[in-house]
Amino acid sequence: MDANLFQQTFDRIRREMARVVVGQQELVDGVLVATIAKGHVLVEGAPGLGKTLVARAFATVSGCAFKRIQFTPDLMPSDITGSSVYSRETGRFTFVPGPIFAQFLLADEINRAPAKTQSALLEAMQDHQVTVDGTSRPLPGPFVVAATQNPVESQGTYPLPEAQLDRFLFKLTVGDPPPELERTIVRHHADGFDPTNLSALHSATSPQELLAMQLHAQSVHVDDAVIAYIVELVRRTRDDKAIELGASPRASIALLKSAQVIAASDGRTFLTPDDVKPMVAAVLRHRVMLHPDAQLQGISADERIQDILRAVPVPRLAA
Amino acid sequence: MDLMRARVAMRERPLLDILDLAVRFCAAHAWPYAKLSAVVLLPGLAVSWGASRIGGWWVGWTVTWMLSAFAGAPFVALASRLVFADRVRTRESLSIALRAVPRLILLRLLQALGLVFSALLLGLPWLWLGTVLLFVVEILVLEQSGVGGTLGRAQRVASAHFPDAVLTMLLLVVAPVAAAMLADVAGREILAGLLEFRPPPSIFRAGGSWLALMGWWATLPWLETARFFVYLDIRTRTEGWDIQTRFAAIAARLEAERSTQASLGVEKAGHRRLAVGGLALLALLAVAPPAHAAFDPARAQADVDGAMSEGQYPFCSAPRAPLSPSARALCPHASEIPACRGFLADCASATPPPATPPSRTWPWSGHALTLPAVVGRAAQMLVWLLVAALVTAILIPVLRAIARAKRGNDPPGLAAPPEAPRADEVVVVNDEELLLSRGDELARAGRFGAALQHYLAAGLRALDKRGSVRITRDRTNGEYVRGCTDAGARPVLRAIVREVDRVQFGGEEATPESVARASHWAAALVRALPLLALALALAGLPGCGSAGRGSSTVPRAGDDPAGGELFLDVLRRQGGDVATLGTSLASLPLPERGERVAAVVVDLEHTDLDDDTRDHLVEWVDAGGILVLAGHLAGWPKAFGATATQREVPLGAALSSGPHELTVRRLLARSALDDSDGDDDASGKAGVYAETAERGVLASGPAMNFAAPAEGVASFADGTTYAAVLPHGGGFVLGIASDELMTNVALARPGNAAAMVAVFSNADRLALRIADAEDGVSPPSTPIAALLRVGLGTGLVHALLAVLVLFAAAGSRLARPRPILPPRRRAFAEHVEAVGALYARTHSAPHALAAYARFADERLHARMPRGSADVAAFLASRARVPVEACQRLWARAVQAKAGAPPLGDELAVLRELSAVYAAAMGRPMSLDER
Repeated sequence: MDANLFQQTFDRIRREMARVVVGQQELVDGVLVATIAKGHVLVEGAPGLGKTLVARAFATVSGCAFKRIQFTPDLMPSDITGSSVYSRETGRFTFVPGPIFAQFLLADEINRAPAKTQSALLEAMQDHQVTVDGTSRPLPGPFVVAATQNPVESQGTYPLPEAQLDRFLFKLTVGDPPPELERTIVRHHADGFDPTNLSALHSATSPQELLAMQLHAQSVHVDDAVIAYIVELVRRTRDDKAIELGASPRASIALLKSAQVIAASDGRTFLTPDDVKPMVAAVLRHRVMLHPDAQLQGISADERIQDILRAVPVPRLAA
Repeated sequence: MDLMRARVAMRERPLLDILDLAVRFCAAHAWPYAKLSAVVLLPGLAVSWGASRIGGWWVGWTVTWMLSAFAGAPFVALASRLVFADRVRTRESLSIALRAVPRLILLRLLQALGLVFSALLLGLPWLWLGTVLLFVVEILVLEQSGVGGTLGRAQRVASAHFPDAVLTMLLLVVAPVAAAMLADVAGREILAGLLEFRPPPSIFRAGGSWLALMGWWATLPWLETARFFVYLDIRTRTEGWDIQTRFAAIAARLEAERSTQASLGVEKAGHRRLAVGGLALLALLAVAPPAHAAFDPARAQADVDGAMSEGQYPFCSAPRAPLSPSARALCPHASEIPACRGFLADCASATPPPATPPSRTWPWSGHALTLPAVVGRAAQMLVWLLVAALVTAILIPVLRAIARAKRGNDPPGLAAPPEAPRADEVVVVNDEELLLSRGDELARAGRFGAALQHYLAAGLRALDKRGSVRITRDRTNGEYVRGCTDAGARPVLRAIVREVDRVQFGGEEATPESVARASHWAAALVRALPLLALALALAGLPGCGSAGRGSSTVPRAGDDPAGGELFLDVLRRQGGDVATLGTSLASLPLPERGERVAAVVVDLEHTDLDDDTRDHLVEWVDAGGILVLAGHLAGWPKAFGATATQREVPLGAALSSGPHELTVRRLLARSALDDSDGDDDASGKAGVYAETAERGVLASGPAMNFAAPAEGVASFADGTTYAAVLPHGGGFVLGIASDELMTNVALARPGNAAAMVAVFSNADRLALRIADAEDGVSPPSTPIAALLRVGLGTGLVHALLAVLVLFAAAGSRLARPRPILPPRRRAFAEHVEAVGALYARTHSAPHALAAYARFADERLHARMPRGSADVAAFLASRARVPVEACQRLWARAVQAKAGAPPLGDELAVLRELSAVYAAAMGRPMSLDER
């Protein structure tokens, strides 16, 4: 795959998604970038904003096998990974794979399941494999987990631990659409659109092509100055007085990989700070923990991240 | 250099403050200004006065305007030095200004071309052109820029705060004119009313006066200082405190050049001599000619010959072309006047006369009627000068490039190549032209990557100064492109960014071709506007075509055959006290009983009388005045009963064909017309005449008669009266049927001068006051009537409408409700305010102070001018608190850290800082006030 083909495929996927998804461009782009960057995405938003629709549409457009898991408090890890079941006819245990054995997994309301169940995703998200009864079974590639959580409800939820949060490449926040978009959405439904029937969508790519895109994105040239810029941005989160726990080096890597995808989507073979900057908020907002004083004062992680962006000079030779 | 030692505090000021500051600045440094004024203004005044004497006021004011364009440069240099130094020598200011004169000449030529171009479009483009070129003197003199750089820099400086620049430009146009008029009016009042000297003719009648010239020149120092302060203010607003380093660099450069000042000692002495000479010239010009005892017709011809021989009257040799109807009517005299070949030839030519007759006695109004001729000739001169300037402008950079190339080919060791900046070095260069030149140097040295960065920086700098982008250290190149508000510049900027990113981040090598392209794009971004201005100026060239033959001559004094210069000159040589009336005929003060007032001469061929004026003239004559009326009998006051008399002419001949022989009686004495015996009837008081009558010849022979008994003084061969004396009340009227004897050509004919002197001897006065063309109408009673009278009524209506529209627009703009945006961290501000004590109890006061300092720092940086970094100084200037106190407060605030132990003063500092911040932001909110 070359740069032109990458850019054309990228644009084709976005156009196809736009046929059923009105607005939510940041969410669509985030899912696409995360897929190509071999990452996973955590989506936070109120119910009814199209999160499930985006996931299903993306799976259809990308030709990936799609599975959805609705997390509940009584969900067990084996409900996710699968388990061995004894077969009376054969007299042996047969492994029945769980819904995690898909290429695109939608983990709905992941914060409603207990930590033990949430941890079942850890190995899958990190190593792209599942170990059940001592046997590791690889997951089909590309493997992407899109998890959602509801920011409104706090009763009966289990906040994701930092270790798991760190596994997500992005945290995307989904807000209410503007009035004109909402009118368009309602008009679509009035005209007969059925979100459960996505047969009108065509496959714009294939899992194999996505794998090729992943390889091409990794080959995007990165200058030392850009690496220094990325590291400085992440390092500032550790020195910021309003942030108690800053981002880890994994955040730097995540920023790098997502920026490489952005650069490749622009048809370039090299990375610039302009590719890094738009991804900073999505990569860092769930990786920093604010100081309680800052939370008391109403400071949000996004605000601190924007302050850090303004404070870090963009690399250039002379001004 | 320490900013605190600046003589003028560098802060943003409104325009009125700047003007007031300029006045106080000039007053505070009166002695340096006086010394420089003596060197610069006095010679300028003398030259202007001399030019007006030679060529008339049209030439005089043109010379004044041209000299003012250069005479202001020394005052700019002086003001710039006085801002930072206690003592400044006059020769320093002069030397700084003189070095800039060659470039200033070129720039003034371009400005003049722009003015001509604007005149073709009713002067409207000058509102923009004049503004963008407003600060050329400051940039040339202070920044030592070249011509091209000055044009671009001036446009950028003016565009940074265009409204102030426009107002300053209008002030510079209006103020000298207003000062000239004010000085003329006030000076005449002082001279005539207070000192009882004879004042010069009013500027509104003669076109100028030495009083008006003094007023014009006197405003120059203040105007130049005010413009310099506006320039200073704009640069302070746009470049913050960088201006102090720029002036420091200028001062350091000038310090190195002090050794060359010694050669100016001779020039200073020369200036002193020139000033003294100018004063002497002024005194000489003010001396009145000696007076004679009475009019003597026997000397008249000698006086005419003397005046003609002095070369002041080219109406015979090179008369004004084309001939006016009045001049053409005098053609029968041409063959009788010796050495009048020019007028004779023009009389013989078939050139049709112009529609409007030129003025007889007032050259400046005649010049105004031939304004298109002057503009055409001026345009021709400017075109040739521009061609020469363009050739020079092209040659200079070529020669420089050759010289630079020669320097570049020097063997290594003689000229070390410039070092490219390292990635960790941040070179702060504030001038995009410098960045461009630095980029060129790096490109020539083979450092293409650094050159590309400099080209990008130059383009961004230029766009930032225009307000199209905002340079901040955290913005990426892509954000500059996406955020560029200049749609035309965006593609160019994108192209440069693409090249820079490819090299800097893509690991590719920059090629000379890509660097050359980037250089071209960056130059296009930086120099777009000056090129546009030059293109506009060049586009105006086709309109500056040559004027036709009909208007090819510039009017000069004494070149009109029908003019009256010789008439006045002869009367003065005869010993007469001849001067312009200086007031309206309708407001002539009535003579006191027994008072011998000067006779008033009114040529009704050039002066129209309204009814009020006619009535007043009758009253004035009745009170004892002596009125000389000539020509246009139908316009005389009806009370005098003058009518035209039908003359018998030979069959086939016309009354105007001439010659018409005239016999004139010269008055020797007249009995007094004072009614000492109570008898108002003056009919019995006859004149005593000379035995020998004077004879003259007229080209046209209108005759007149008075209804009441009159004493004929001049008659034709057929006995009809040409001139007569009509007693009326306490005075009398000397009526003359035409003004031919008052014209240049008629007087030049041998014999006519004696006839004219004989006619005017019947006025029985040596003191004659000549009425101007506009004296025939009564003065306007109100300012509005005066504006309507001069034809500005429509303009006044337009101005009022424009004011109403502007008022309505401004009012609607201000009346529109603007939403008050809530502060982004309102919760935090209220939280700190509400739980200040809680923070103290929990030992979190340092954290509160640090957080508030960050909040204030962010907000202040958003408000501060581009390029400025001193938050404390900005706070001090905005909140009007002492700078030292503000610096201590700010230093303490930023020193606070969240986890540090409290020092005990955090909350007090927080309270004070919030009050200062609120004052700086213009809000009344403060912790103390709650």
